[in-house]
Amino acid sequence: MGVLGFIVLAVVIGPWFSPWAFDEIDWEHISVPPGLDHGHWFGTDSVGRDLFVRTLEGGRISLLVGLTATAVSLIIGIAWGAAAGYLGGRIDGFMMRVVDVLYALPFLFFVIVLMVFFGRDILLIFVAIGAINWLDMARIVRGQTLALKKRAFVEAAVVSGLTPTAVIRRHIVPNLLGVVAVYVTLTIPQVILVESFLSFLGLGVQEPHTSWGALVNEGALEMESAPWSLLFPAAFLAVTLFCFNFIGDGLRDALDPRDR
Amino acid sequence: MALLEVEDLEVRFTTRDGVVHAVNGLSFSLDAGETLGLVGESGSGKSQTALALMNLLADNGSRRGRIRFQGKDLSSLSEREMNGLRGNRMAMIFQDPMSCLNPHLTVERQMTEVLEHHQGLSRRRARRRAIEMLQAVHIPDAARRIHRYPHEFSGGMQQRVMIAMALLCRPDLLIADEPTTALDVTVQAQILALLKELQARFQMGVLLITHDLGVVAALSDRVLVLYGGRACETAPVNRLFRHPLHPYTRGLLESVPRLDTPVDRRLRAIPGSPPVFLAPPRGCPFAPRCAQMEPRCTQSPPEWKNAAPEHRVACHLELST
Amino acid sequence: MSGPPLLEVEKVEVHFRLPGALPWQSRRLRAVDGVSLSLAKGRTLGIVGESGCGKSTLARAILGLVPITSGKIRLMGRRIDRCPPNTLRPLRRHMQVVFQDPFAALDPRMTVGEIVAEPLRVFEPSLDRRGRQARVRRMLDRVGLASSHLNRYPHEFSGGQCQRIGIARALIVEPALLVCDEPVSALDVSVQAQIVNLLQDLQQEMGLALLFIAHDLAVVRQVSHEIMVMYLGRVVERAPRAPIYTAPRHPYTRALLEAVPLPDPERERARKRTLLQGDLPSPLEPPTGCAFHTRCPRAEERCRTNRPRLIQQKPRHWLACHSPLETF
Repeated sequence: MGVLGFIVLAVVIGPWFSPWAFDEIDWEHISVPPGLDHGHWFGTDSVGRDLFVRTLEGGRISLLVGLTATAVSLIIGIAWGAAAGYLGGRIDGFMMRVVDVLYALPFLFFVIVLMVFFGRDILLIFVAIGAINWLDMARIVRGQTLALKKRAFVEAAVVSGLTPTAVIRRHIVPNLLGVVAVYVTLTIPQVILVESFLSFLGLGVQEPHTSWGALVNEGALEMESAPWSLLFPAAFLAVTLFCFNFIGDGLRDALDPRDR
Repeated sequence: MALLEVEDLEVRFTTRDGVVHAVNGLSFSLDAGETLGLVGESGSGKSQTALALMNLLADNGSRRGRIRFQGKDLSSLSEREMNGLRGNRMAMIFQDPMSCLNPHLTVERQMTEVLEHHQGLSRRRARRRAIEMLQAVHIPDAARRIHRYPHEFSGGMQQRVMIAMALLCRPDLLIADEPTTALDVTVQAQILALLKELQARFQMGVLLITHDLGVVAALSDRVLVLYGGRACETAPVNRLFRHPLHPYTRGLLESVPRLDTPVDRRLRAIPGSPPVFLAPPRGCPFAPRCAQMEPRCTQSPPEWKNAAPEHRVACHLELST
Repeated sequence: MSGPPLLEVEKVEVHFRLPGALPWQSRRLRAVDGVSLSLAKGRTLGIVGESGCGKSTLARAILGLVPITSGKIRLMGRRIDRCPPNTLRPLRRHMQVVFQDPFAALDPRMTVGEIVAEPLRVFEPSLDRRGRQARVRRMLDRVGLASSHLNRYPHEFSGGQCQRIGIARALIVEPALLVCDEPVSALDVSVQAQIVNLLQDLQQEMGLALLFIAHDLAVVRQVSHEIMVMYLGRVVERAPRAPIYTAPRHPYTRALLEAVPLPDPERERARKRTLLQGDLPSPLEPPTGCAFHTRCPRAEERCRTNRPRLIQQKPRHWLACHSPLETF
């Protein structure tokens, strides 16, 4: 948790420390290894841009994508899943068939089509990834809702005269959040990886913006001559993903016995 | 020699919130052929006492004190020796039969396993004995039914199967932890009659743990009343119900609605709730709820007083019937 | 006690369809199989029976938590069975519930104050926060809890206290009918008496009608004016308290009463009684004719073939039996 906090902090305020902007090209120091004397602490890439700043800048984008896309999938997923689970019957059946059908669509194909039609807008990437991930969330939320629906306090709420919307809002969703929180911490790294993958394929963020995935992509090309350009972004990416997964596991353990 | 002698039993659990003292300084004895009813509510420590006797406490539990079974000190036994006793010379039955019946094995397999392990019988002879035992607990058509799985039996029948399994090796001690609490009342009556019959037949010592005063009255020879991990009163059953002395025992008997007395407009309830102890109180555990509490009740634990032959009370007050 | 009864249940059946052995087959579970009752303001009807008798399902059907298959339910003269939710909702104000498990009945994520205030939000939306709080405090006081408990969470309380919270929530809108589904079964013995007293006191103060469902015959006797005995979804006997307990006419009623062990060792061991043989039949395969005939010591041939109808024997004594016990 602490490591993650550090990374987030670094990503947000780190670039201030460096004299370089992320898209600034230092013509004198192209592809130099990391060092302190020339002010490029992580070295530079093949075009001469400071890698330290770019890594952190890329981090901003990657984390932003991770959080936003997850938030989108969260909202849609909870709404869909809770409604399906609570209303049950044919509505539930229909809503979950929709999920099943969407599940079957090849994700990449879908994204590429979107990209082709709407260009490589950063917002689009959020939406695309969020639109895919909500399916898992919906299934999980529906499962939890089915279990919660039977509990006495939900029945008590119905007898107290609450409408179904009110019951879902006041009783079902708050009691889901534990499970959802765990799932969110596992979704964020997933989303970041997806974005990285897209960038790796060249479909991600536009230049000169960058993300860890894009940096890894570039770095892989320079792997033999300038290993630092792969090493730093990859390390940040890996550590961040590890942190999220670790937190997720910890949350799951912490929430489990208490909810008994 | 008494079948079972317990002296100063203490059971503790280490939890995230601290050490829970479930049982504090409990002493009692049980003879062969007699039924001792252990009465208490939640927090009384009755179930933990049973588990401590069988050394089946959870990992975070520990016991202290002397437990002598047929003269042998149980705490000096290794786990293997203990295993040899469990299911063999001392057996336990629970509230929920499915907690000791394996859903994946037929009843026959589960029962013959016990006999093969403890008494070295062959499968065939074990099966014959098992069928006999099922018949002893009045399972109709036992020879055929034995090959079924536990879930194919009804609740009452499962209870009987569990009892049969416990008695396979003709144990000398049977610990029954709330054996009828989960049963419907007409089935409960059958099981109570069955337990009585089996005890007479096999001359076992029975430790009957329950919160139901009716069940105690039906089966016990002697009664031990527990509250908050301590014993408060013990007496032969007729005497306890006729002349209860401890304020808790009296309060309990007065607060329970009964079918054999006229209906009062209001029940005489004991105020407050049973305790949950993170640390044992300095004085009597019942003091906070006791109408006759005096200052000394919260300062030191009460000592046993003899009120009559075999009737002892742990209370600071001068009690009279 | 004049005017139409508060609650009228007329020949209600609640059947569930369960999957059968093969995919296209289904079985019918007759949880409630033709039950009628009526309850007047300020009175308590106790419903007793063992597993599978349908008493809890009946309660939930009355509360509208489970749809009924046929029959009619009327609350204050208005039909509430098969009623569109929006019509039912305002009527719910007059009919509340207390459940068996005191902890499960309270939302663990809400404070006591929020839990008890919830029905007020629905039925008295004009009340502002302060108004609600004042009502909640008064109600907590009435059920024997301190107002300092407002901001605490259910898990901080004992079973008995949680049940009081549940009762406070149920009664804050002053319903006419309170359905109690095993309200004390999950509580410690020394606490049961407190809650029973509380319910009776509140009934007196508020003129509540109580539908008291329990398996403990002694508790039911304590609170009820009238008692209804159910077996496998059917009513076998219904009468005022005294006749049921001292002179039951249905063999099952007597068997139930005889089966309860008395907290009096001398009397208990001297009792002569006939124990029922066998187990309760599964509601999925109810016996033919009278559902009780497989265990009944007085069963005759016609008990096996004809289902006995519930007939009025005396002004308030109803019985469904072909060979009833004689009054003694």
